[in-house]
Amino acid sequence: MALDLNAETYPYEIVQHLLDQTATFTLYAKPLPRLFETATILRDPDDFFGINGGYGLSLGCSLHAFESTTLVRDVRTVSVDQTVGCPVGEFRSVLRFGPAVGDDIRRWAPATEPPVMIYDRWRSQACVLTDATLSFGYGEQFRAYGIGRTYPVFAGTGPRLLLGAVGNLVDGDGLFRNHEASFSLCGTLSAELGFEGVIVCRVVDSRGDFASELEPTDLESTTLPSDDDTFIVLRGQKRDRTVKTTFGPKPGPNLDSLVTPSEMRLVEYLAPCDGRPPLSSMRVGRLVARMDADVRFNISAPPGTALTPTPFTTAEVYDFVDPCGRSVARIDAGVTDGIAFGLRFPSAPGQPGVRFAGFGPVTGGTGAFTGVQGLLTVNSVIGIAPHALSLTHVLHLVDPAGRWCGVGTDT
Amino acid sequence: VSSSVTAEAAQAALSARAPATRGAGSSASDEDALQLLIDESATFHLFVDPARGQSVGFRSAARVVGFEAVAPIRRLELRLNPVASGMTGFNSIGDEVGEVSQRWTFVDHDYVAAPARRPPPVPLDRTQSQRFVIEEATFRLVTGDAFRVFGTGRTFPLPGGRLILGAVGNVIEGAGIFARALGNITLAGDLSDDGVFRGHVMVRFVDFARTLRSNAVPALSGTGVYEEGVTYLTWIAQKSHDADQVNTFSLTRQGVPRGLNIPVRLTRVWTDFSITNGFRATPLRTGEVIGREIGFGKEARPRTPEMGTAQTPFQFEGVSRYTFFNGAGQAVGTLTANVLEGRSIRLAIPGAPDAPGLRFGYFGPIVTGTGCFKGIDGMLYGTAGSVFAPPPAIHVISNLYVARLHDPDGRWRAEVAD
Repeated sequence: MALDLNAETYPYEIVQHLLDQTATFTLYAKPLPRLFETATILRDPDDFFGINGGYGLSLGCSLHAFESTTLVRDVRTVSVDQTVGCPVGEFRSVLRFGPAVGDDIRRWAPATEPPVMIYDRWRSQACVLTDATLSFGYGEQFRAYGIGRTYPVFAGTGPRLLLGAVGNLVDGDGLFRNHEASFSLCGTLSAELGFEGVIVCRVVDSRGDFASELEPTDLESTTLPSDDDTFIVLRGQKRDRTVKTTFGPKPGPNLDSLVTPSEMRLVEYLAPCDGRPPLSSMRVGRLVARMDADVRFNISAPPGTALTPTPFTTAEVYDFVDPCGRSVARIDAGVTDGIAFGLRFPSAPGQPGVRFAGFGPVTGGTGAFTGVQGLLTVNSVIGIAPHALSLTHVLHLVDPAGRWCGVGTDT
Repeated sequence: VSSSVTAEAAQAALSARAPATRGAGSSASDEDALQLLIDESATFHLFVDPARGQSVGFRSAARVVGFEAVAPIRRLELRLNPVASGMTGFNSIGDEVGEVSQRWTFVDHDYVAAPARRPPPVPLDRTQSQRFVIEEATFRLVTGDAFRVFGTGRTFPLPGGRLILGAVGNVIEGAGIFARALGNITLAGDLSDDGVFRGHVMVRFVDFARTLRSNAVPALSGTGVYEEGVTYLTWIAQKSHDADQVNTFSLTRQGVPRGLNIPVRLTRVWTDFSITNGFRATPLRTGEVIGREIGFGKEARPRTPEMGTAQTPFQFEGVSRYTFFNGAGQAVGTLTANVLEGRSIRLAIPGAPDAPGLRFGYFGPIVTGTGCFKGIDGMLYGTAGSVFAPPPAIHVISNLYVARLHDPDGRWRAEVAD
């Protein structure tokens, strides 16, 4: 008998509340200046395999509080205000490249030597993120392992190389100790071997270690985001318990398709402050888009673990709506590389859930998004029976002409 | 300087040794002798001039999938000035010496090219990096000497709509002075919207018989003509006996070799040619030490017994960082480059039949630079000869590099040769 995804092991509202007991940090990463001049991908300076830019990149970024507010005006005009605040931490990782073609989640192998493939910025390459550390100062940090992929795009005046990646907390210090967490990132690899983009970190926080009673407040801009990119941050959940998830046609052997409608809304998260523990709260805003997601994975597979996550892919359609709720523009995107982990709720024994993160390309758009190029990252937690959602999506739009950046440029 | 007398002596000395002592485990004197033999080559630079060239795109399903082109070739002199606060190159394009007729076809990245095989074409896409097959490139000098090349390359889109490319090729037929000569080329340049190639062809012929070289080559310096927006820098990498030049294996945490760490010293180099009184190239001439290369290299595909031939060359790749020093020993800049496509072919060395000789060509984009190379954009490529066996055995090499730099402001261009 097929699993009833919409059955309520616990009441839908309870599960939604439990899912939202996560600490979410949306961060803007800027490359540390001149790091590339001295960085290596190995600690041994006499092993020239470690030359930065050859078989890997040594990434180092300052992390800044980030806020993105999307205004859908009409069929031609979508504007996104982006605010980058003060530095609150650092992200470091070594990116090691894999094959130029092919999948796959099988390269998830935290305990083994990553593949040996040379950096080729003109071709899409899989990669693994080793020695990843997200630190917020004063010992609040975690180490992670992840996978990613580069995406060459040709936009405006020339070629650029995008990077999408996701990772899983391996171990943490301070507040991050004994927590499960995922991160996702999307942005651009620069000619000087740096990464600039948005990193979303979500920490499962059933004990409320990260919970703050403070409401998110408007972020003060202290530095500028990239001129060439627009990042849309969205929070997704079902409208209410009446919205049902259905099975789609089976996409292949040992794969199932879940078709899930949801609402994507503006969201503000409490910005971390440098020098203080990274605490979290969330305020959900108005509706920006309706989303239909087709999620493909093996529903019979055992829950994913840190060593063996469950792979998944998705196809998303974002139907952007104006303030009156009318559909005015659309973005098509999908996760090509997703990792999912089993999720348990201490206060709701027997309630299954999934923590997952993934990335993939934007594949098309209409209306104000006609001709769009970019990436999607998802970093989410969901329940299974009931199929409640707590989604954090970032759409990275390549935007050298500033079509979506700022205050309502008429496109 | 490679003199014919010392090369003959080197050949004789190597011939006199027992086979077991040649190649692996050789002495410093063996390496010196092999170095002289490896340097027995005629290396010269040609500039493919688009000014009077003609190119016709050929199509499949109404889309351009390749080009057939004819263009004049000119003598090109490349000199690197002494390293001071930065690095500058003097480039001089000389008289027309002949023409090149070419047929290039764009192919999928995974296509395995071979001289007798007609490649399945794909449409040219100037927004993507694409591979192409040089089905034929025939260089005809006005002297009547000629050589025909087969090869492969890649395009690389750059900002502003530029499409640059690099390619390696092997000489598959020669006429006149090049008859039966072993040679290979590496080329780098720009491809215009209408399929006209403009750029540099580096040619290297093995010349153990010294039929292609002469010391009496008239100098070209001072034409004042250079390629607009581009500067070429050249140097050569050769091993010395210093302790910091020893090759080692790069090992994984499990102790499995990933590839080789190869340090080499860099010196200035001069090479030229003339067609006055017939074709003759100058012997390779090297100058002072100007830098150090540290590199990691590996086979791009595992070797098989069938590989290493002109039909199926070995394939290699790697990353290198080049640090350049001025006369006071101060580093003035570094550049890092990746070899994305390298091809090597076995080479029998007279007098050292057991020495694992190779001749090869390669190219790849410059990844980044510091100091005088901060903000650098261009291609690094070269041709080389070597005797190579895994460490601790011998490695002798003469690796002639050229960096083709995007240089609209003349940052690396020298107005005069020093």
